[in-house]
Amino acid sequence: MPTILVVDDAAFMRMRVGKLLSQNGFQVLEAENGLDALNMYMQHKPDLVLMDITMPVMDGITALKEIRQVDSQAKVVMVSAMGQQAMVIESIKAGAKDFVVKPYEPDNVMVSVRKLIG
Amino acid sequence: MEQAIAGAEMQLVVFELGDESYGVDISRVQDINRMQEITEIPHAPESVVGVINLRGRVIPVIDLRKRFGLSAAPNTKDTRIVVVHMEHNLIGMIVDAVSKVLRIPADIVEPPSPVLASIDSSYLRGIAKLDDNLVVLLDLDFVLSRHEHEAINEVLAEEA
Amino acid sequence: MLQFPGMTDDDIKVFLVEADEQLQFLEDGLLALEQSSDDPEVIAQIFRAAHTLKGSSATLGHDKMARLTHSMESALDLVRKSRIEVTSTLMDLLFECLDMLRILNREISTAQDSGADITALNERLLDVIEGVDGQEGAGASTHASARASADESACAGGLAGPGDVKIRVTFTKTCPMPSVRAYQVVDRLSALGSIAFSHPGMDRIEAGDDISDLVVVVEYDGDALEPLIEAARDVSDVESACVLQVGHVGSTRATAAAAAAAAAAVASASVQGEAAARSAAAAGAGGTAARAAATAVAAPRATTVRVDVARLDILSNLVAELVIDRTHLSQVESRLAEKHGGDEVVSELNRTSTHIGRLTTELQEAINKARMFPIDNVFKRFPRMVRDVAQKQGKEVELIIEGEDTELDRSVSEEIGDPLIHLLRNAIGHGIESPAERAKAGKPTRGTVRLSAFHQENYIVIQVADDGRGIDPEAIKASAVRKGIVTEDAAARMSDKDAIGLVFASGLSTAVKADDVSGRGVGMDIVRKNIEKLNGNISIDTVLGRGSTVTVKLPLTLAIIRALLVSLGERIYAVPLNSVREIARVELSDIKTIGGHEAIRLRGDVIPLLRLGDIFDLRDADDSEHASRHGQRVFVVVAACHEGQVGLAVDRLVGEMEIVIKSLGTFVGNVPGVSGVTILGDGRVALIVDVPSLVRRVVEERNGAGEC
Repeated sequence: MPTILVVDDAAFMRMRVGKLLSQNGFQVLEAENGLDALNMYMQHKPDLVLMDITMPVMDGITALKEIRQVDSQAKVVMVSAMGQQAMVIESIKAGAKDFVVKPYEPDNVMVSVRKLIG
Repeated sequence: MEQAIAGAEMQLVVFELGDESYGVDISRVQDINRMQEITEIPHAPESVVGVINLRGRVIPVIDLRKRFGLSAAPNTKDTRIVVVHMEHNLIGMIVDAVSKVLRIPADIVEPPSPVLASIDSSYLRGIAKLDDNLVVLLDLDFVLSRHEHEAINEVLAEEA
Repeated sequence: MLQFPGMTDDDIKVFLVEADEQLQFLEDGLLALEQSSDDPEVIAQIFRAAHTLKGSSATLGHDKMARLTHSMESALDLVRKSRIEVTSTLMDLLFECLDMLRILNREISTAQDSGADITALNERLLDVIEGVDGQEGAGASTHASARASADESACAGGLAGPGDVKIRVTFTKTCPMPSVRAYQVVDRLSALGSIAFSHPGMDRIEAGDDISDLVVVVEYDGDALEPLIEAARDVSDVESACVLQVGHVGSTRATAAAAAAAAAAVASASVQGEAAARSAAAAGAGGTAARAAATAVAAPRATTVRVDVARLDILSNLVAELVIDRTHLSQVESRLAEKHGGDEVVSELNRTSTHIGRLTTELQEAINKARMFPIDNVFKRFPRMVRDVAQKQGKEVELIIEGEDTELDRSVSEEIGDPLIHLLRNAIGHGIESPAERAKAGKPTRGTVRLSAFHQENYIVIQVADDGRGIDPEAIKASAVRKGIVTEDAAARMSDKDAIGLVFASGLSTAVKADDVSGRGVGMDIVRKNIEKLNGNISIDTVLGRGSTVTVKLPLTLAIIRALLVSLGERIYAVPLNSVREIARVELSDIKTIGGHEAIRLRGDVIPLLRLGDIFDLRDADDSEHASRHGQRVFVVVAACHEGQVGLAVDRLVGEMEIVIKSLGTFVGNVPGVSGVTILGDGRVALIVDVPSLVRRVVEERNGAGEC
């Protein structure tokens, strides 16, 4: 079963995405900030990371860069809010594979996920 | 036996260290644990091996062999940590094995004799002579408070 | 009746718990912003709170909250970028927004529409935002104008050279961030050829401007055009991608490719149609659950429950035992796995045991957290009290509170209130002089009482400081002699410091109260006894004519702090997060040796590098050092206190978590460099690194070395 690491500081968002992904047959890991995510990534090597951008301790872009340092093949999809265009572009430059926008349509998330780990 | 029941009784936890059996009053024993991971404490007195987690409490552990000046021995499956009360603290002692809980009449305990035990007799409260062997009763307060003497001696040695 | 399709009872509960927290962050942040309008940390906190609320409420489906927080976020973003100033008008507006958010949150918790209207507030926020955009002429271009200019350039840009392929890409109407999609398209095309031209230009795309379609000219030397089209179409939300013009390639092929692309675009549109139908069906199915959830939360929620600390103690101990058993369980399980690996029952046990493990950890964290209380809960009743006491006594007093978010154990916080009231009353009644007296002494008529709290190693320190008249040691001595507490002889020999200490002696303070000469009044002996009962201590510093500071130091046997866990060899250490400045990854070659000591350079700063194994003299320090030197790079945790900073070389970052500080106890005593220990989720004990003492040690050691 492919594993997806869901990174968001809001437990509510983690729960929503987590539910969606597990209903679709993915195993879900959670992290609540970038640092947490980095460590989870190194420990569990998930197949995909869904990464929120704005988070305390370590933001999503920094975490993305750190993860790509550890694993240049890492598949990271950024989760952004409206209005964060510049940051999403920065993440794509830093190697993010795709992005979804909050509030997301479940199908958009699944399309993005399946494109990368069909 | 009649006499024993009528007279005062002692209940001891008996453990092994080297070739000898030692006893401590059961009321002082909180817990007997298998050997577990011990977190070392830097710059602690030598016989303090480190600390363990006993059901959420952090408890210092001393190596009784070291404390008594006996040679070190590897841990085995019989190695135990005996956790005892010391004033308001709990302290763990590493022993080779815990053999039994013993009920003895108080009057078979004799005053300590340096000849009979291989450790410093000031640690001893007495010796219980049983049919098959001798059990050395430890003076826990002294055994454990020696930590302070040790620390003081270390400081004195450094200053000298 | 409000309904949130697709949301379960649990979803809504989680939302509410978190929203409460975020609203509190917002309020705290706004209050702080009022005090210091340019603190970037504070602004970031407020921004994050608005941002999180926006994301969650939009997902929940509460449109009013989502719209309002969106506007708030946009305004706050401008504050963050220093494009608008924090004025009192803006503060008022933000506070009004906060009040409105509370109303909206209540709509969700009660599942009742309050009828509150956000339109006016939203308009005012938009005025603030547009005011800036208008001034700078950087307004987002509308879809219409963007489309027009793209068409223009498509016609004008007919100068495609040989090998150039001109492609037009359009995005769906619902595409959330077309500029980012455009960037992705350009990014993918650039892997196939180099980008000669794009409209809109890369600067506009990267600035995140609102665009609706994209024209790109790619210098391409492949034969088939399909890869280009496919690369563009692979990006989500692309409605169509077609070739407009090809430099030297024959027109037949270009047309064929365009036709193929158009067909593909139709196909993708129909896929999206299906998706939309599916999501509509899902929403319908969730409707029943949502109604059930709405009913469940219809009753106003009780937000707090008072719990006896003794019950929490029982819970803490039970959980601690559970942790041990959990560890045993996993050991048994791995032994079983060794013996009967691959057996289905064993893997089932493994799953269950892992799950129990996670639950246990969460349970433990929750209980630990339940014991902790920000001291704010104690402090918050003081401003009012201080004002009343001062007014009654005809004094002007400003109360300054610091460190109100410092956490302490509940049992301590329940006991500390009364002693602090005593100390504050004394500071106002006997410390601070009347305005007339202060004026005569050349002081501002308004006195200051500063109440502060902070953590210091294993203690919480609370200080009550006033800038009043101070305490006269001679007056104390005289009073103590009169009261028969000390003899005249003893008093004469007594140092000033010891004399001041008599304030805490039983029986003295009553006498002092009668003649009120010392500047300290009733009940100091009782205060002292209460503090000592909590295993704390109290001391007083005073300067005659300048004021007094009473310091209360309480142990935090159960203090919880956030810490970064790091590993070195087999050992795990906790570094308090409040002293962690940053985490760097450093090339081994960047570690320099200066005067026999290792150091790294980070953005111009030379930071002494420490290896915990060396400092703590632990036996297998060599192994861990070997491990950390084995790789090409090491993690360096830069930790700092006000005296300086040090870098700690570590093998691995284990994670960030809340830890319970436990004392090493009197038997082991103080250990240099270690402020305590903590029990990790797996039951192991980890040392907590005492950063200030390491910094002091380095400063002393390296200064010493420098002089040699």
